[in-house]
Amino acid sequence: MKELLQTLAQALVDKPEEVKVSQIDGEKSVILQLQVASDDVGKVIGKQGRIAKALRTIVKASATKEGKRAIVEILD
Amino acid sequence: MDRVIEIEAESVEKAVQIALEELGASYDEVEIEVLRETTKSFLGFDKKNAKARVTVKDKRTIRATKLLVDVVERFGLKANITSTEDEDRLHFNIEGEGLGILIGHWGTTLHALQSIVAIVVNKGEPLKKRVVLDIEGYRLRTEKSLAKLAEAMSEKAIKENRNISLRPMSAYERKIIHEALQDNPSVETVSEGEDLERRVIIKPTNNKDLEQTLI
Repeated sequence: MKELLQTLAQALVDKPEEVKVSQIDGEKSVILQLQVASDDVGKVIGKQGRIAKALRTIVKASATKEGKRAIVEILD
Repeated sequence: MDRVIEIEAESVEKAVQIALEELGASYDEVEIEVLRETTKSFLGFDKKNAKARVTVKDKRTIRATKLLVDVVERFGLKANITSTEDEDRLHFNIEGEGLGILIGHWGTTLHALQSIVAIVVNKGEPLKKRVVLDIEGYRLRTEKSLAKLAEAMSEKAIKENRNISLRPMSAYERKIIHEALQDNPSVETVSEGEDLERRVIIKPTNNKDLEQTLI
């Protein structure tokens, strides 16, 4: 899940080397915290949060496979 | 810049190999069309060389394919990704086993993935291209069944002489309905409602003022 979010975020931003994802595992849910370069924050959020929503949809699908709920936080 | 060459050689493999060397491209970066297989007549006389046309793919296609390969792998799935290009669109198709998870409920995951690929593909490009992503023919099947539904409901609207309101649909689904009926002079279609409640209403053209009736 962490690697999936990392892959997607790195493809979207201008500074892929500054993409960091940390994963906090809970019993039934997983929190993924996405950190990107400050100039790149808009690129992972998008107009009206559209890109962030798409990222969450994809990550959640992957989490479902493992029987978990995923929460994606974008840190700025 | 389109880079295409046609090469003749004793075998298709050989022709492709020569083409790749001349283009300075790798196997993943090209589209190969076999124009002629090697043919041999009786006793091996009159042998004809194989001929292949090799086209270097748009670098956007290569970028998108690489991303899709990575995503599929991160899902722990195995799949084959093919692509075709035309003037203003790039088509990608993912084929494999157990890909339902990549499609999601009503295709939500598929659409999310398509929108991400479209952004990645067009990043920094002056000329934007539309991206169409399909997984195991899901999109094609959906389009066919929605067009069928549009047809049936338009007949019902005409026959019963009333407005027919369809179930709430995504923008993509509504577009298919509108397009399926745009050339039908007996009905017109409009979208009404907000966000998740937005739906298509099919109206018989001789009957614009009738109150809409929900089905």
